[in-house]
Amino acid sequence: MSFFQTIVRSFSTDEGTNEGKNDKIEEKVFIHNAVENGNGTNKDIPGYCGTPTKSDFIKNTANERAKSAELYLNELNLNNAESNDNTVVGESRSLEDGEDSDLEEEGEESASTRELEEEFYVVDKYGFIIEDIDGATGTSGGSRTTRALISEKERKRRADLESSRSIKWVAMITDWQKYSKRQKKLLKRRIRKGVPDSVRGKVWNLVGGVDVSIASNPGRYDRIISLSESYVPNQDIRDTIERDINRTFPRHRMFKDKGEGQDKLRRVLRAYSLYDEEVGYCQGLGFITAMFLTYMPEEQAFWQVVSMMTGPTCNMRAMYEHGMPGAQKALYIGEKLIKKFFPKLTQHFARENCHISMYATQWFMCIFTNSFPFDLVTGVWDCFIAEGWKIVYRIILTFLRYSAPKLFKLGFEGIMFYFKRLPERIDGHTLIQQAFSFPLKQRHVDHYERKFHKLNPDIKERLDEEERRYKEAGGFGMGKGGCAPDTAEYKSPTFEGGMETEKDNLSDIDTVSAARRTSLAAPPYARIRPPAPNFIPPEYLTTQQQTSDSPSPFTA
Amino acid sequence: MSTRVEEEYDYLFKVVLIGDSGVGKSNLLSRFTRNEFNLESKSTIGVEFATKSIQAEGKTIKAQIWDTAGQERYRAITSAYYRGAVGALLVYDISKHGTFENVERWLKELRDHAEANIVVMLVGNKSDLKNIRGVETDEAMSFAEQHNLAFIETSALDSTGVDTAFQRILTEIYRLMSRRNMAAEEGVGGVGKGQSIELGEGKKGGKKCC
Repeated sequence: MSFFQTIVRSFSTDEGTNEGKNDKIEEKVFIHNAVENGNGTNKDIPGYCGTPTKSDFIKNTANERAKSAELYLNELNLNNAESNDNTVVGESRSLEDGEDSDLEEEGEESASTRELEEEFYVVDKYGFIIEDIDGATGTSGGSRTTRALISEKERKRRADLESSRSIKWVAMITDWQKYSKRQKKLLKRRIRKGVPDSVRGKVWNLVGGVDVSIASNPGRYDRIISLSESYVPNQDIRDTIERDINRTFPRHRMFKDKGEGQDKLRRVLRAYSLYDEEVGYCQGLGFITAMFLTYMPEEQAFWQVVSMMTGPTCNMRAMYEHGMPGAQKALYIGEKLIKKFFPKLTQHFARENCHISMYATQWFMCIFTNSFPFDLVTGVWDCFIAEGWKIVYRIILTFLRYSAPKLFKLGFEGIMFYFKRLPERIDGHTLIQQAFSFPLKQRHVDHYERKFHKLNPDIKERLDEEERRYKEAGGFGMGKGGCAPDTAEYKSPTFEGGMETEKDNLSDIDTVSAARRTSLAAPPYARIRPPAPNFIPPEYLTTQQQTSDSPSPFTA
Repeated sequence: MSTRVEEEYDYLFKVVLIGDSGVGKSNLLSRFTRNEFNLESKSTIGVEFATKSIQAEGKTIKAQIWDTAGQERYRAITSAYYRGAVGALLVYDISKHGTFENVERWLKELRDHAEANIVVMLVGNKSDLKNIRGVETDEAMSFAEQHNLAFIETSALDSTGVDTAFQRILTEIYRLMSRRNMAAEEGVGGVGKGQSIELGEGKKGGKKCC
């Protein structure tokens, strides 16, 4: 147990909107009791609770409250350099560049012998650097939260709300079976409201069936890792991973420099590339993996990736495999949905030769992780892991719903630049809630999915074939690289997911996809009630652009 | 952003940036369009877009540049962007010979998906990394001659050659086009002022109808 001295600065850099406040930075010293390494609590992940108990929760809440100030001025305390749990506040940078050759061996000893440099920067609650100590700010190379878009009061309100929700969530986690089987509606509603950051990693694990995967594959991750040191079936893949390591969230404190964060990312990506040699690695996967690593330990992150890739709910594998059939399908469905809901805007886009792949490819490939503020990203992922693709389309349609009046006035280039800057304008929290009220139904998505398959029988055949193969083999990656699992009867990681299927409730979905879904175990919340009307009061936003009676998640 | 939408120009050229992942395509683009270099840059996923206007032979030429993801499988999506491009900067990293070896594959990609008369310039980026050079200038130059490509070495980091590269390829495209136009003018009208070549998008007010 150790105490860290953290200087929490409450400050406001509202990009010039709050006159004079920019340079007025209040500082107060805040002694923060770091999360103790309790039983089952992962020391590396602040707030990650392996098997949460009430006392874990209290500690996490303490952490949460400190987080709620949203800003940390990290002060590296040399006394803590030897301690392992310096992750809560500090980030240390080694002066001697640890050469990548023996990164795996770089353990505790080297950490203690490192010559350390004091480094100051301000990070948001997700760990993204908002401001270096020399005042350099910027969005380039990293996501950022939308601090500038919401008021201090609102920020505090959200933090308090999140804290109080944490209590409910801890109760749900400790009795997960009950909630996932008998209280599905409640669970779904709470997931849609947003999983509190303090339990997010654990909840994602539970929903993705990660614990089951680990239990039925004991030691498998470690075996793949040790295999990866000598077995390189595809040098190209290995090189591509390596090139992306320091280009993944370069403005996140965990990944900005060589060190533990980058090492973990490298290991998980290499492990997946061996687990599933057919896909190997595809650019985009790195961002998602890195996001997982900010919420959970390495082994869990690996199985979370496996779950997300191969499970029927997210099925990201189709996005990343050669030929990118999933990406083509998502772009097609996205395009058709836009046409359905915004026919005039579609005409305008057509006149301007503006195609969906020009702006939405990276949204689909990374499910928003690579450029959007993390309040949006994490909220989308809560829902994406639990419910599947519909939320992704909902978000895009909601972007357009609020952007349409602007987009109509713009020509091709204006549209492109508008989309490029979109991430900076979003209050993710509000946008997600708006997205749930968008009148998109699963049957719409299914309809266009069928059309796509009709137009592209080869892709359909291929995906079906893979699905068959997957079911027969009980998972991909059964070859040398995947290191066959221990258990005699392999249990597919995701289909054994922590939440039960809802077969009886598949009301608005057609038989074909219903058959497909149930055959693979339906997504946890297969069908959804009509979303509650906006329950976000308009005063949520300081900067508003009223397009209807509901608040806009965008700045003017 | 870097460019105002209403900017006046005489010609609009679409250019693509291609080459292996990590060779510096995005930084070449940001150096050229915004004079910025980002050490903390992120991998490009899909396609990115930027524009800049230059002067060549008394004309304002606007370049519409598409930066593409480098990983091979992304070609499933990015190859659509070669269509209509009048120029391509094929980038490799002078410190990594493998990225130069792949140039041939990228050329094939262009042959398969781009217009036949696309102007291609081979760009050896990261010329600041002289001490770990893996591709000799002579080797690249003779390859370029052999394949009838323009060639230049650049460093997006210290700016060397970046403006020259874009200036040269855009001027070259302009000359080729003028020659073609002149030939065409003897027949039909040719490409007029403010209209793009092979692009359905022109200056404000001069757009093609759907």
